[in-house]
Amino acid sequence: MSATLELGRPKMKKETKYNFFPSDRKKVAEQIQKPILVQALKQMLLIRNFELRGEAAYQQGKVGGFYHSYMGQEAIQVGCVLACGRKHWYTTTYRCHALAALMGATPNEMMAELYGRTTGNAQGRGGSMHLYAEHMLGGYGIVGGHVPVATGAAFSVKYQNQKDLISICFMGEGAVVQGAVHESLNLAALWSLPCMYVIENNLWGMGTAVSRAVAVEPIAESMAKAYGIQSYTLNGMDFFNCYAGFQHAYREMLQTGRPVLIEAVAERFRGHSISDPAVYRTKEELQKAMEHDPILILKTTLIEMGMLTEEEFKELDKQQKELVLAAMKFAEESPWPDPIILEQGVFAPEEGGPNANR
Amino acid sequence: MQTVEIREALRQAIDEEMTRDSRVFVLGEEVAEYNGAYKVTKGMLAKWGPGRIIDTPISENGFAGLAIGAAQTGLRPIVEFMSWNFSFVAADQLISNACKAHFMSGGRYNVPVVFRGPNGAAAQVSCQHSHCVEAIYGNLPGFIIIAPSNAYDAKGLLKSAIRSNNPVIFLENELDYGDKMEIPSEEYLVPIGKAKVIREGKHVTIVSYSRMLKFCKQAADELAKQGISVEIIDLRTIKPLDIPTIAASVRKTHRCVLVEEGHIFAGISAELGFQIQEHCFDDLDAPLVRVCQRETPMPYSKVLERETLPNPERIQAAILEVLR
Amino acid sequence: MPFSVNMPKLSPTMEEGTVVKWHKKVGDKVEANELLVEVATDKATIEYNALDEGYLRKILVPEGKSAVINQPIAIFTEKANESIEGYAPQGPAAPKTEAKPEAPKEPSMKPSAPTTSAMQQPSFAPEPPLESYEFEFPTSGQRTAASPLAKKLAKEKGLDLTSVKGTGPKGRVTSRDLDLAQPDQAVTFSRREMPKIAPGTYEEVALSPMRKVIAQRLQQAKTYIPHIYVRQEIDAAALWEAREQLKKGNVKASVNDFVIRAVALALREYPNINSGFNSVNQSMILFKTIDISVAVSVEGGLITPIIRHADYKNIGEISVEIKELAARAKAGKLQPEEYKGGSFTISNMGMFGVTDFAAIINPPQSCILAVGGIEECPVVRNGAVVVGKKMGLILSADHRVVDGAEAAKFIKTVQKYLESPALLLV
Repeated sequence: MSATLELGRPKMKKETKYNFFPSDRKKVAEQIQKPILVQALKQMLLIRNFELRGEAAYQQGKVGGFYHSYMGQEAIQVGCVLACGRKHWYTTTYRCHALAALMGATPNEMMAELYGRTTGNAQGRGGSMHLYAEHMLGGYGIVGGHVPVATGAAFSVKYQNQKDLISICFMGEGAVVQGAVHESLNLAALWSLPCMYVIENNLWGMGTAVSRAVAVEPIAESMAKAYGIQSYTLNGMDFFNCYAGFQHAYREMLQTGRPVLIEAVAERFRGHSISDPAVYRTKEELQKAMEHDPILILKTTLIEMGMLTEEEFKELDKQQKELVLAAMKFAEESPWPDPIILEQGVFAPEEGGPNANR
Repeated sequence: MQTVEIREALRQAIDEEMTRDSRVFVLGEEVAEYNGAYKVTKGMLAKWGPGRIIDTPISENGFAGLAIGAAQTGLRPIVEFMSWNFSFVAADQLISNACKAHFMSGGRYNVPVVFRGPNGAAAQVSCQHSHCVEAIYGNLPGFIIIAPSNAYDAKGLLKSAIRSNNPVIFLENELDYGDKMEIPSEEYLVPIGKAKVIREGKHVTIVSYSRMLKFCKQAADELAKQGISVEIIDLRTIKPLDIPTIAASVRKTHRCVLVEEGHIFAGISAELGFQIQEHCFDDLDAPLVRVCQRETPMPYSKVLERETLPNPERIQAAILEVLR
Repeated sequence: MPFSVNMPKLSPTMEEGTVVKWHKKVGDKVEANELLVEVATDKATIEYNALDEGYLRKILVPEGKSAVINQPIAIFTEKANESIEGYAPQGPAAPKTEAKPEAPKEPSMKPSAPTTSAMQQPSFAPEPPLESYEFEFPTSGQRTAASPLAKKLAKEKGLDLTSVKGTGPKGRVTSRDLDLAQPDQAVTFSRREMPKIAPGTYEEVALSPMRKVIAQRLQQAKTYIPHIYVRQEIDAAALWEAREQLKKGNVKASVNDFVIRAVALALREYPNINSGFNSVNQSMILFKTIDISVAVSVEGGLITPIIRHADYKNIGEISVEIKELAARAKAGKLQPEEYKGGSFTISNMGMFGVTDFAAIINPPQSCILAVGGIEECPVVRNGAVVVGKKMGLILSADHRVVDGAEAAKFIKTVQKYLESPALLLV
């Protein structure tokens, strides 16, 4: 007698119905106003160009290891950081180039880190998956492993009575099923820790469709109930929706001091990482996804509203491209770490330093 | 001076450091309202309140990671694992985050956290509750690993550990929490990374740490009746290892026995032994001998538990062996 | 501005790729992100999109050919009509280039240094001393088990571990066993001294002027004179008796004095032995006077004072003269004419008790007689074995001048005289 176990959903994929946070593009645009909107576009273009060129550098053999491109998801983190501000504690996964750039890491130091040079963001010790910045606690490699750490940052701001600060934690939809995430959500809900958990649902955990990994969808709405916390679902390709949703959630958190679970649904335009040829997606599916390119959506809206011209856009894009090309040159010309310092920096100095004893 | 049990010495250390630095706080299972599973934090909730003595749910991964995040953002947490066996649930936080953050971030963030709790076998608590973790975590760069054997060292070292800017694995022993000793009433610190010659001898050096030192002393007392003079070294800090103190002793006695409660394969004795032969090869008059827990999960039955662990008789036999 | 598109690294382990299909042709405008080429890697065939927009102007690696990572595969320009002349994209060279076979190097047949003339000596030099030497004792081949400390102490004290009995497990030698092997305590174990210098260590001493001369002369004599050797045992009983008799008359003659007289008389009978060889002229020298060079050992070497007209001197005169000459020789006070020249040499090592020996001819002389010591031996006299005396002589002769037969006859004549010492009286 042979029986095959049917695990997960059958082949016919059910379309998940998302209840996006209600927002009106034009209204949000008017609220944000042109300078910030142009800045947002600029940031998205910088991220897009960086990821493109970083990949090219990888393909030249200049970058090694893993490379997880953020292309296609720009609206989420750009919207979040703009809406909440940079003074909070941010934590994310190995798909961390975008957040590092938004939190103040320069293209030079980021590219140099990818190239493994001593001028890199972490002096060449971390690499693509471990970029850091002021108030950015990393770039983490273990799926879900950083979520308790981000929760700890929320604990920290509460402990220190930093009432206007929160902790913001980005993770993929593949991570929500890790035990560490459940423990974190429970702790945050139990102790009312001001942590904004943002699930960037790009529909694929490496090669596994989200419906084959997560038992309930929409994820945030379903899970938040279990912990008694608020949830929101955002259209991750639409900057305006993201901005509006994050702004609302942030303000609510400052009021309630409660954690929030947000799901931003997006598409990534590359495989999980550079070595993933993404054969699980057809070309047509990818084409269709790219029609919702967040940069395209933002640009089109701005042009429609008369806040931008096509030439200005091209100019912005060109500027970001130059910045990134200059970063590549900087990285290329930067010195390698001297092997003699290999074992230094494992421990923090005991005397002095930022956490020196009072 | 004051006579205190080890648990009280530890409590005093935590209390004094919490007084000194408002960023220090304690979290773990049953540390607050239950007064601590082993009463190390007895009375502390009443004194410090639930904001600084924090009962956690049973989420080792969650609260260990939380502590690491808190440490990276300005606080100095003390995490109690009810026993070190449960740290394995938090292994990813310890191994991927705690000992890596400073290096991985290029020096930007450090992790001043103390993970503490009872390590090793208790009384017949069987296979899953008797682990010695020092060799497991010891293999990873970035940890400080401390294992005091008495109240004086426990207090002084825990204070130093809390003041350290780096992640500390602090190993206590459940069966020894009640051991009494006279210690100073005034504040004092014991430096991290320094072993101690607790008894001088001529014929053989014994190196050990934590609970096993009791057995070493018993074995040495017995053999003293036969005219054998045993020098005993208490490691106190396992990592970084104080090899100069050990090497000086072995160069004097020319023979060495290593005793640890952990398992024999790839244990602390293996590392110690290697470093001793590295530094003292020409001064050795006999091969090194080690007495460790045998190659089996901890059995439940009293008789088997005693058989697998080091005991004074095995240590005596080892000393006689090395003197042959 | 022209720019190149290089073979991309499409997987972490990819080192080279093969172009499967170009999706654009020369002259096409290519937009950013358009599919440009398909590349076969070690793992799969992957589509590669153009990064930047431009005009494809030249394909460097056609379909079916391979390129290594970063090797330029195509040239683009930003504008349609830009020249690409002179544009040489940088990058690694194509894979699997045939390694040019190295021209085999001819073994250089350099002419070696001009062969030394037959005159030049071959060189004999000592081997350098050994850098290290393990003193291995011929035991059963077993290693001696010893603790590192014991080995260290043994080395320091120069003690031999194999001679120490070990009391450790499996007979291991420990430091306490060495304590028992100390020299100032009751020694139960053998102690053996270990050499302190490496085998082959040597000291080189420059030759003194005298030794230089000796070395040169003897080297040449031995190399260039064809020596033959003729040995004869002498029954020395009568000789001994004659010597004893002389003592009664207070004449202290040595055995060698008798030999000198005997040789002098024999040379009268065989004047061809009293000869030499002139290597300059390649001619025989027939000495007209019998001048016997007597080898005398002096400090630092050897010298040969000459008894001139030895055939005209009796044993007593010879004895006195040789004593006087030897004394002055030892004091370094001989005149050149007293040691340069001579027609025949006698060398006596009888005082050392050797049986006999063969001497090196003293050129330009042609012969030298080597005299051994007098030894007791059994002889048959009147049908009974009694204790007799023998003395060994060896004559070395230059075969260019003296044939074997002549040498033999001569030495037999010497024998005649020595065995009938009365003949030396006349």
